[in-house]
Amino acid sequence: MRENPRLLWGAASPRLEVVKPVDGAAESSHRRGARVFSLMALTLGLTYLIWLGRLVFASRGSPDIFFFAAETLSYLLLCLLTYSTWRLRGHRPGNPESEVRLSVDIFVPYCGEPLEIIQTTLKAIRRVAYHPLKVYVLDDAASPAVAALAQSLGFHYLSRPREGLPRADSKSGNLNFGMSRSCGELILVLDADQVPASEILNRLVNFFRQPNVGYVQSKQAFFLPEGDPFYNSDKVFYETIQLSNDQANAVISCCSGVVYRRQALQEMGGFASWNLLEDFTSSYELASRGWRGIYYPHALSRGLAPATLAGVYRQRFQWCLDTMRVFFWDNPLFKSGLSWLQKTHFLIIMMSYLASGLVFPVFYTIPLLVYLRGQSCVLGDELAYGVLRGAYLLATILMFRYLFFGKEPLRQFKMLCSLFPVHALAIVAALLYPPGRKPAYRVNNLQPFASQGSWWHLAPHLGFIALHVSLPVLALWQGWGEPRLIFFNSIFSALIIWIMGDLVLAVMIRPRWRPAMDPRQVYE
Amino acid sequence: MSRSWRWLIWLLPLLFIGAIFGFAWSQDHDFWRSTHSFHHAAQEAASRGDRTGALELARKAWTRAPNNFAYGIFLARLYLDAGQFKEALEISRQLMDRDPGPGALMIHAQALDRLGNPKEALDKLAWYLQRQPDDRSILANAADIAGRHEDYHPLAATYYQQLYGLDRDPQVRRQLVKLLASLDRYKEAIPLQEEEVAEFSEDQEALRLLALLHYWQRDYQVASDIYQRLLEKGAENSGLRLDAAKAADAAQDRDRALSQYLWLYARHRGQKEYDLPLARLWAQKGNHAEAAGVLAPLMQQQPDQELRRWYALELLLIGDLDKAQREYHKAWEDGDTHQETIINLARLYARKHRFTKAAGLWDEASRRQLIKGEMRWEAALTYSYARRYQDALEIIEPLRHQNSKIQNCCYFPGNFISTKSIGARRRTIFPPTWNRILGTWRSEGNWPRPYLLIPPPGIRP
Repeated sequence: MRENPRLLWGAASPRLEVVKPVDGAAESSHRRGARVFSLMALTLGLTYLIWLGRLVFASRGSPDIFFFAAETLSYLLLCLLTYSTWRLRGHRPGNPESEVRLSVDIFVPYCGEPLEIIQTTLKAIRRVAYHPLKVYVLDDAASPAVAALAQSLGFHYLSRPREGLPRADSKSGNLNFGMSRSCGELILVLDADQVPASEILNRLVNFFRQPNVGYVQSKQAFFLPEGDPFYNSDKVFYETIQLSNDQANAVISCCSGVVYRRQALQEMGGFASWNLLEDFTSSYELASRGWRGIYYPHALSRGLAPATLAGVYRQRFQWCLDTMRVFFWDNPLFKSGLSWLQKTHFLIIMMSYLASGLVFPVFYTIPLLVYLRGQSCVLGDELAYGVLRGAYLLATILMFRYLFFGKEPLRQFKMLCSLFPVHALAIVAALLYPPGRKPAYRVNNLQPFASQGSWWHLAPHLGFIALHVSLPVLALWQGWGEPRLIFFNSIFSALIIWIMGDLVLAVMIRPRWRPAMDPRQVYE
Repeated sequence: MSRSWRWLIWLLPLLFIGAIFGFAWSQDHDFWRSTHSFHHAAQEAASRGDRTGALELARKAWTRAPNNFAYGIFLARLYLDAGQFKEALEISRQLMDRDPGPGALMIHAQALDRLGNPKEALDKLAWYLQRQPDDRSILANAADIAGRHEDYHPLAATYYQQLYGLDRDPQVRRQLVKLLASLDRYKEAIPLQEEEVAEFSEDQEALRLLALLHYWQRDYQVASDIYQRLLEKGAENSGLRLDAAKAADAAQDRDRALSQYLWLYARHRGQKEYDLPLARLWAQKGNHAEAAGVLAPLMQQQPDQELRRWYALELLLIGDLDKAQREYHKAWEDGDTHQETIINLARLYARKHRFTKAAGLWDEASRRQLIKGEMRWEAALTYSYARRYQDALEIIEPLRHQNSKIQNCCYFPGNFISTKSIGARRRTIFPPTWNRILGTWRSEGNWPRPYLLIPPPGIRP
C-alpha cells in the first residue's frame, strides 16, 4: 500500500519529533509574571467590582444589575483560573520509550466518515511499532468497504449493526461494544480521522507502570488551514489548561489519542455513556474513583478539525452540552471522590462555557440598552470607570500573556466570546436533558472537506454588530443620551465588533492550506 | 485566517470609534464633558458671581438633560436671579407639565410674581397647599411672595403662622413677628416675641423688639419695665436709653423719663432730639426754669419760630418778662404770626406801658381773627390805654351781647366812656388797674385761658 509522503510522521520521518522543553529560566520568568499579574488582576478586579457594586446598588432596578452579575461571574472565573494555574509548570518531562509491555488494543470507532479518512488512519496505525497489539475497527456504519479495508490490513473488524445489535449510546456504546470483544490491558482510542504517530504507544504505555494510572491523554493536533481561522488548535487548552489539570489530576480525556487502562474502565462499568461523548465524562468518573490521569503534552496523532462554522458549532455544541450536563446533573462540587483542587479544575471548563453562553451576551447587550435608555450607572463617572476597568483589563491581559505565553490567548478569548450562541443553546439543552435522556449524536466529520461559509450561522453576530454600529449613531442623532456616555459606550461597541470580527472574517475569507496540512492531500 | 485581512479586524473598530467621535464632536464640541460637569460648573460659576457663565453652562446641562428636574430648577433660578423672568417662567412651565412638584411650582410662582402677577402665583400655591397643607417649602414660598405685597400681608401672616406651627422655626417666627407688627397685630406678635426671648434669653435685640411691641400696643408701663431690664446690660446705649425715656414718658412715669433724658442731656448737650423732650418734661412738671435753661442753648442754633415761641413762653412763665418779650419780639420779627406770639407780645408791651405798640399787635390779632372770648376785654383795655376808645368799644361789643354776666364787660365800657369824658384821669386810674389785674393773674397763676398757650404734648417734639 502506498504511503502518503505528506504525513507528518510518515515513513520519511519514523521518529517522533518531541517538542523541546521550555527553557527553564524563561518558564520561571513567565510563571513569576503570571503570578504577579494574576494577583494584580484580582486586586484591581476586586477594587473595580466594589466600586461598580456601589454604583449599581445605588441605581436600583436598572439593568446594570445584570452587568454587575456578569462582571462578578467573570471575576469568579478569573479567581478559579488563578487558583488552578498557580503551580503550573510549563513543561512535563518527556517520557522515555516504553519498557513495560502491556497488551494494547487500539479502538478505531467508525460511523460513516469518508473511506479515505479511515483508510489513512488505519494505514498509519499499521505502522505503530508496539507489541503485543491488536487493532479493532468498530464500524457502526456497517460499511463493507471498511470491513474489507480492516481485513486487508489484518485488523479486527467489529460492527454492531452487522451483529444485529442496536447502536445505543453512539460512540461510547460502540467503544463499550469493542471493549466487550477484546482483552488488552490497555485501550488506545483513535477517532477515524486521527492519524497516529508510529511511536504513540511507546510514548504513552510506559506511564502505566504506575498501577494507579487510569488513562493517559496525548495532546491533540489537527490539520489546519493557514491562520487556523476557528482556532481549532486551542493551544490555551492543550498546552496550558491540560498541563495544570495534569498537576491536579484532573486531566480531561479528549476523545482520541487517549490510552485507558482496561481495569479502570471495567471498574467504572465501561466507557461512560450517559453523555453524548464518552471522553470528558469517562475521565471525570475515573478521577473521582481515584485513578490517576496523565497528560502527555506532545501531539502523537493528528486529525481533522471542523473547517466550517457549522462544523465548529456542531462540535462545540456537543462539547459544551456534555460538560454542562455534568455541571447541572453531576456537579463537581457535590461529586464525591474529588479533591477541591480537582473540583476547581473541572469547574473552570464549565465556568468558561457558562461565561461564554450567559455572561458574554450580557456584555454585548448592556451597551445596546445604554444607547436606548441613555442611562447607565456609570453616568457621570465614565472616566473613573475607564480607569478602573482599564487597569483591571490591562492586568488581565498581562496575566494571560504570561500565563498562556505563545498560546494566542487573545484568539482563544475571542473564539470563546464568539461562540456564545452555541454555548447558550447547549446550556439550555443541558438543562432540558437530565440523565436518562440525551439528544441525538451527530458525527462531526461526515463532510470533512467542506469549506463553504455558512452565513446564517453568523446571524447573531451580524445582528449584534449591526446594532452596535447603528445604535450609537441613532442615539447621538436622536439625543437619547449624553454624547459623552454614548461615545464611551461606543468604545465597548468597538471592542465587541473587534471580538466578533474574527469569526466573521473567518467565514468570509476562504481558507488557504499548506499542502502538508490540507486534508484533501493528507487523506487520499 | 489570512494575515492580509487581519488588519481589518483592528482598523474597523478604530474607524468606528473615530466616526462616533467625529459625529459627537460635530454635534457638540463639549460632548466629552458630562452633563453633570456642566451643572457642577454652572453651580461654581454662580457661586463666584459669574451669572452669565453660569447661565450658559446651566443652559447646556438643561438642553442635554431636559428631563432632569434639578438642572431645570437650577437654570430657572438663575434666570430668576438674572431678572429674566419670562425664561424662568417658560422652564418652570415645562417642569410643571411633567410633574407639578413643589420645586417647579416655587419657581413658577416666583416668576409669575416677578412678572407682576402675584395673584396667579398665590392662587397656584394655594391650590397646591390645599392638597399638601404641610409642605414647608411651598408654605415658605407663598409666605415670601405674599409678604412682598402689602395687600397680601394678612395672607402672608397666615402662611407664616402655618409654617411656624409645623416646626416652630425661629427664623419663621421672626418673620411672622415683623409681619404682625406691620399689621398692628401686636397682641399676636407679643406672645411670639416672648417665645423668642425665652428661647434666646441673651438676645438683647429680641428683648428690645418685645419692648417696642409693647410700646406700640400702648402697654407703655410694660415697655418701660423691659427697657429698664435692657438698660441694666446696655446702660451706655444712647438709642436704647432714648427709647426707654420715650416709653417712660408715654407711661406717664415722668421721673423715670426725666432721669433717662437727663442722662442723655448730660452726654449729648445741645442735641434737640434729647433736649426738647427734657424741656417739655420739665415744663410739664412745672419746673419752667429748668425748661428754659434746657432750651436756652438751643436759641444759639437758629431755632425755628415754634421753638423760640416755646422758649419765650417758658421765660414768661418764670417771670422773666423782659427776656420773654425779647424772644417774642424776635419771633415776631422772624415772621411768627402765631396767636401766642402776637397776643403775649401785646400783653408784654402793655405791661411796659407801650400801649400803642400793644394796641397795634391787638390790631394784628384782630385782623387775623385771633381774638376770641375773654380776650376781647383785654384788647379793649389795651385800646383804652392807648386811647383808642372807639376800637375798645368795638372789640368788646360782642362780649356784651354774649355774656352780660361778666361784670368787666359792663364795667369797662362804662370806664371807657367816663375816661373819654374825664380824659385827665385815665393815666392815673387805668395803668394801676391794669397792673393790678396782671399782678393778680401772675400771683394766682390764673391767667385767662387764651393766654396759656402751652402746646399740647403731641405738638411739641
